[in-house]
Amino acid sequence: MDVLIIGSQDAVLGFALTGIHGRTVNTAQELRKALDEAVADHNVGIVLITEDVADLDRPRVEKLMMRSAIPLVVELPGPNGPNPDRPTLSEIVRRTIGVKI
Amino acid sequence: MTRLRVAPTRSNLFKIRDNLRLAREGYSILDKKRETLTTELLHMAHEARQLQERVWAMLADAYHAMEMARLSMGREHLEWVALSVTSTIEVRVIPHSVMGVPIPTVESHGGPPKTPYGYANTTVELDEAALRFRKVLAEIPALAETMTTVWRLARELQKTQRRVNALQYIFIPQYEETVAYIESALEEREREETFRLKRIKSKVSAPTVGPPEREYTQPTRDVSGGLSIVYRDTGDGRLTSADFD
Repeated sequence: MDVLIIGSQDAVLGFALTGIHGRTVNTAQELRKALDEAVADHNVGIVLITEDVADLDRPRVEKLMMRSAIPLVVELPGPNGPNPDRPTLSEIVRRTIGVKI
Repeated sequence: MTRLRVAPTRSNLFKIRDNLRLAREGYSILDKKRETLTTELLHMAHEARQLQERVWAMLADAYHAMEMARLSMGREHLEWVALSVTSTIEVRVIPHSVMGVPIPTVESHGGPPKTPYGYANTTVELDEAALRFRKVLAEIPALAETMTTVWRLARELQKTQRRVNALQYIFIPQYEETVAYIESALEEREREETFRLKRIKSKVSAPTVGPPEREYTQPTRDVSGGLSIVYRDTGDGRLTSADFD
């Protein structure tokens, strides 16, 4: 199965240099279309999505991250780096089990 | 804590006792689930954090190199170069389940060729950017597996914790209190009934001739050793005074 990237131009171009197919997305509508196609395509195993693009339709992306068995949806930071306002993985874990890791 | 607003009847008591038993069973199952999820999560979280930080740093480098390459060669040229990369990484995603949470295992093989494009008309910046992105890509399968697992476990754990708390602090005390209330109300009613029966019995079995039998006898207490005016019970239902006449 393939890896697919949905993201902003720079991210898509960068992964294109490694042979990964990409979809450049600028609006929420484009994102939804790209996600629909990715989910319908049985040859897609992992969908990478940059954070700036994921913000366009956060609920849909989160739902896929949580529930989708194939493809896996993984969020990567965008070219401007990770959003400092979003709780990081370790913060969420700490809040959940009350232990700092 | 509030109790349920139900009539204190025996059938309600049985119903609520059943509910209470179910709630306790559910609590112990969910508590076990919570323990398992916490163990799994703790097991993975540390590793996940390190992996995430490493890949994100690599990705930031890659973005930076990409910008340099774009500046030195132009976007269009880069897109042309990208077209020449024909082979890439292959992944296999195998879903399985931990406590009902879909958890993936990712296997991968292959990868992009080291030099897919010719050296003519390309710059060092391009090589750098391509190298960096190749490094990021090599980590993607492990990252996808770990991140998805940790996110899903954490979310499921939160959900489980909410349920455990709801049972532990709301439902179980509520049922317990209601059961206690109904039991005491029923017992009270039973005592009243017994008393009523006793009373009826004493009325029914009372002699028809002679002085009426007393239900209770008033206790008298001689506090002054028979010297003062003492009311005595003479046994015929009248109270008399010894020193009165």
